[in-house]
Amino acid sequence: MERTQIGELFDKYGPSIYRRALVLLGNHHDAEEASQEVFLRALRHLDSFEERSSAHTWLIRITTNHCLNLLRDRRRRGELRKQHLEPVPGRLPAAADPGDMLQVRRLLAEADEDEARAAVYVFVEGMSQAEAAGYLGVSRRTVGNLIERFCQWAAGRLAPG
Amino acid sequence: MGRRQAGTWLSPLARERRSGVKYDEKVLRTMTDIEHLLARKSDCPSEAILDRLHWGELDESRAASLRAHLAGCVACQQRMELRRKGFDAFAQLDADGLRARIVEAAAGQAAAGPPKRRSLVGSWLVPAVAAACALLLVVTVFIQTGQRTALRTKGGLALQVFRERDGRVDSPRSQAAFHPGDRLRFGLDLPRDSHVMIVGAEQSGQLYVCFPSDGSRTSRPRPAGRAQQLPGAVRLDASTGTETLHAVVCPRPFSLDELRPNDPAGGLSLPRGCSSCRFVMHKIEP
Repeated sequence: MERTQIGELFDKYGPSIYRRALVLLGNHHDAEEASQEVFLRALRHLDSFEERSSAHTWLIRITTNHCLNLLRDRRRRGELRKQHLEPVPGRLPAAADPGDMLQVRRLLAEADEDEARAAVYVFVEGMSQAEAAGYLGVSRRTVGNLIERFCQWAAGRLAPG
Repeated sequence: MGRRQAGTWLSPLARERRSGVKYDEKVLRTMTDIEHLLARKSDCPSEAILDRLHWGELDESRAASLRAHLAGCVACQQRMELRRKGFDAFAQLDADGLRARIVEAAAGQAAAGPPKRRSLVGSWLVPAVAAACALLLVVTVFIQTGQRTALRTKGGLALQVFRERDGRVDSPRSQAAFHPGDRLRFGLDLPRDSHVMIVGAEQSGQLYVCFPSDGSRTSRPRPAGRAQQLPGAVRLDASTGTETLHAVVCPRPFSLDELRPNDPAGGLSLPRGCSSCRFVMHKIEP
């Protein structure tokens, strides 16, 4: 990709990237800022692009990593507690329990980075472990191990007391 | 939304975990609550797979399998509809403003110094488009067109599509959804005097001429200029799917026979010395 193609790249992939950022971050302002940063990071780090993967795959990786970093930053600033969940198009309003989403974001913010990434791909993106393995650049068995460790750790975090 | 019956619903994790591994049920419930927000079923495709289906990037057998799933899954139909709407699904987002900020910031990065870059041309976009759509100058110009503001780049070739539907005219962005029967007119930023042809490329690879309206060969050059309104209009036929419009410009006369589709994503091979800019339409039933 040439940096001069950024507008066309945004036209095609922008809605997909913005939607992901909105689900992970929970509000439009942060999702918009994150989307902008994702495309600019893609330009800054063209040398890390592996041509065997698609541009979309690469952008999803950047989006996931960047949004998880933002969640961690929010946690450090103590903002997750106050986070207001804005409606996300395509979701069922009756099922959108802000408490559940907040709990998920807290877990993702506090988890080990690799485990959090695997959890996003499997639970939020709805990928199979095999599909997630392609995005993480690891084996399916490794994804299974990451998810298992994440769940064990999360069980401790969710335990009463 | 109520939870599914125990025994009939499986999370991705539950589907794939090895037998005998016992996870804490509270963790599973917490994490899979997201799935309930997404209203997925156990066999629903991932977000990324639906994206690729939307862009026509899956092989036909996989796409047919997914379409069969979609036919019986209301949740996935809604997820696909979200993709068809593009940025229109996010009422609070000023997509044009965001696009402009990204383009300007990218230009700022360019001014700051050359990137360590690897050309992804070919795997991302068509090389001819890369050359033609180059943002030669960093100044961005906004032109009010109908009900929305379209981003233009000063100094480069640019194609704008004006859509008339039910008596209303707007200027949709590339990758937008169109309906059969929509009437289209075209605007052009032409950096130098050139012969111009607007060509449509169907998914089948079939090419058709939208402009000039009097044949499949250019006869005289158009003068350079910004925001030119091209004469004539076309009406979209009843077929659905993704079609790509190309504004092809050449320093000499040329004909449709000299253009060749060169990839399934709607790219064109151009005669030497010519360049182009493209606009993607997703034609769907209203």
